[in-house]
Amino acid sequence: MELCSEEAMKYVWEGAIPLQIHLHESDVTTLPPPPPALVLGPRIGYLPLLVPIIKPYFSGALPPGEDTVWFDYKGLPLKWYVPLGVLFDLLCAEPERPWNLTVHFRGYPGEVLTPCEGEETVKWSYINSLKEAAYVINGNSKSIMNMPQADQFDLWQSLIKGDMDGYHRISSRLKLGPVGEDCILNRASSMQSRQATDEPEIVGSNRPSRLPVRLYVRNVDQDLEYLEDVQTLDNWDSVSYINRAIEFHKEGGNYMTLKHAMRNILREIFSEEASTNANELDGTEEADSAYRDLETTSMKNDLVEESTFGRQGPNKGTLVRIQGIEPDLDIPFAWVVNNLKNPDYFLHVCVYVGTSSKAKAK
Amino acid sequence: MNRVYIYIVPWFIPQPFLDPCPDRLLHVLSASSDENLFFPIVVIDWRHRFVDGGGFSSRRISFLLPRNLLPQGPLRLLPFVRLVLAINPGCLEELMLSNQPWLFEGLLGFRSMYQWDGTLSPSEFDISVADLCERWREVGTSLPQWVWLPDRALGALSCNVAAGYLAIENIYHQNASEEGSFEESISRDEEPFDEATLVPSNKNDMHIYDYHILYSFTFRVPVLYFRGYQSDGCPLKLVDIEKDLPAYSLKLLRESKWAFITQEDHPYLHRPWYTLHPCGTGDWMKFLLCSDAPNKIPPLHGYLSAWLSVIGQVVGLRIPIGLFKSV
Repeated sequence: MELCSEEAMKYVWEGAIPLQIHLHESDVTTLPPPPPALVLGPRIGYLPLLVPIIKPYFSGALPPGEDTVWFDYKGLPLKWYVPLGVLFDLLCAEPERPWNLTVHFRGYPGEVLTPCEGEETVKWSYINSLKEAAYVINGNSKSIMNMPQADQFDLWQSLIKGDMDGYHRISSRLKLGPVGEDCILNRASSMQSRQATDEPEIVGSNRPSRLPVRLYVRNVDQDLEYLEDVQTLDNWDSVSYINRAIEFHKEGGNYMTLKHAMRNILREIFSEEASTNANELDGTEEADSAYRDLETTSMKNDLVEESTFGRQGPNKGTLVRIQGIEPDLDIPFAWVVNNLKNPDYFLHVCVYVGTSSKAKAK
Repeated sequence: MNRVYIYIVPWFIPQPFLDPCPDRLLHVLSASSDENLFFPIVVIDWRHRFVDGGGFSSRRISFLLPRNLLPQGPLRLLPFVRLVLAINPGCLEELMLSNQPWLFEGLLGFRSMYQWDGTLSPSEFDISVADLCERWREVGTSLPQWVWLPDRALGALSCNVAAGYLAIENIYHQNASEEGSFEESISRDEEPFDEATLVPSNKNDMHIYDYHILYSFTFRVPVLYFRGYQSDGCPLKLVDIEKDLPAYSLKLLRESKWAFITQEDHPYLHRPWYTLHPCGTGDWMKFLLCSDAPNKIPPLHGYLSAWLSVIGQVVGLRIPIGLFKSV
């Protein structure tokens, strides 16, 4: 089964959000105020990278002085290090097109947003995420730390230009995947000589793959059938940001699905749908395997029927949104990771937790 | 094969039933009630405890038993034993639904000795948190106690192993200009600290700090988040904080590629806090704990205390002598 789809990845790289950006009234010094800027923002990009495109629309109206640019959506300051597509998926339960944002050039809310001085800051944040992803996948960040400066530069340029092929040319040398059917990472053959390590590598094939995932969970306490009624987010405290590494491998002939991966982290929410999974248990697994090295066990792949403890109730519903789509939860997790991940090698997943008037089909 | 008898107790059994013990995760019942048992009985809260990552399979529950709970004999030479209980699926379900303690007889499996990479699993972090709090209490200090604050937002929705943070707040730190000599070295031979409470000569010069210890699921190590204020509540900028740091620490932060302070969103409070990046932690923790015995996995309950005794010095948090006893 094909786990890497160039077509799917292309959709991801070409995905964009139509934005209508308004200058905040406190920054307007001209009459009439300037009209909003209409900009297409790449899903895999970041808001501060759009400033050079936006600023010309408003430069005539800005007050004198230094710019400290930030954006808000209905009053909520937007975290600049979160990819634009993720912000849209998370904050617009019902997609709003165009997406109306407000840009500010003054009055940076330093108590709510970490500082951002433009492209360099975003690049630094991206490289750090890449290092973290590499650490999760390989157990160390060496492949990123040892990347030549020229490669780092080219990688970043490919990202901001949306050049997927250019990006993959360089990233394939980073030994970060893709994930194969056997759930072991297929490390691309390295054209460089194997880097010397100071210590022998930890037993490779026995360790299950770890995959980096960032979850953004909104508890909306509302029927998810009516997304347009979901209240605007007014506070980041209502979003749980979960930065995790999902351990994963096959369990007795079954692939790990997206649902299993979600359950790994949000055990109680996704357990309800497990009622049909009891018969997935592979009864033929031998008992004496219990005494082998346990680092490879299926501890993470929780196929067992959860108990009634902590169950949220029969009406709990969830909505999982990745790259703007709501994937079938039974899709193999390997496929989701390979094709829907961001250029920082993290899979960013938005989860809405609410109620459901309809019984869940799966 | 040695046998260990284990009581598995559902998580909601209230504390009084489980005999008082400062370690909130592990309780030992005396075996005096049953003369046939020569081995310790271990009562373990099976729900998400001691199992790496908080999950457990349909047929195995895995526990990490520290040395002092193992029976006398060759097992005691190992710093940790990973105990595996093989349970058939039907049995497991019954177990999970019961509200009575279960007696389970298990055979011991051994964790193979691979090279430790200096990292900590979520359950090991939880154990270490309890251990740190206990040591901090025992060692006696004018500093406040650590408080564990669980992640309320997700709460029952997720696996709650290592979800939350350990906090110590309102720590007074006198301005660098007023401080006396601060000549501690970073060696493990503890120099005597001045334990006397600093009496602020001028309250306006005091800076106040909050420190939080979190677990990084991606790097599998603890991470320190901190922030400082002036006495009027005004937050300190990094340049001000740097002035509060000991001189050797500033040097370390400038020269070391693994230690640097950045500003990141606090994962639970969603606001910018300063943090020491965790990327090199595994390496130097391994050096710290394993240099005498490179091929053994050290007892990990003391991990956090050891870690804090180093990190504390980097950020100028006064660590009491004796926190990092040799484990």
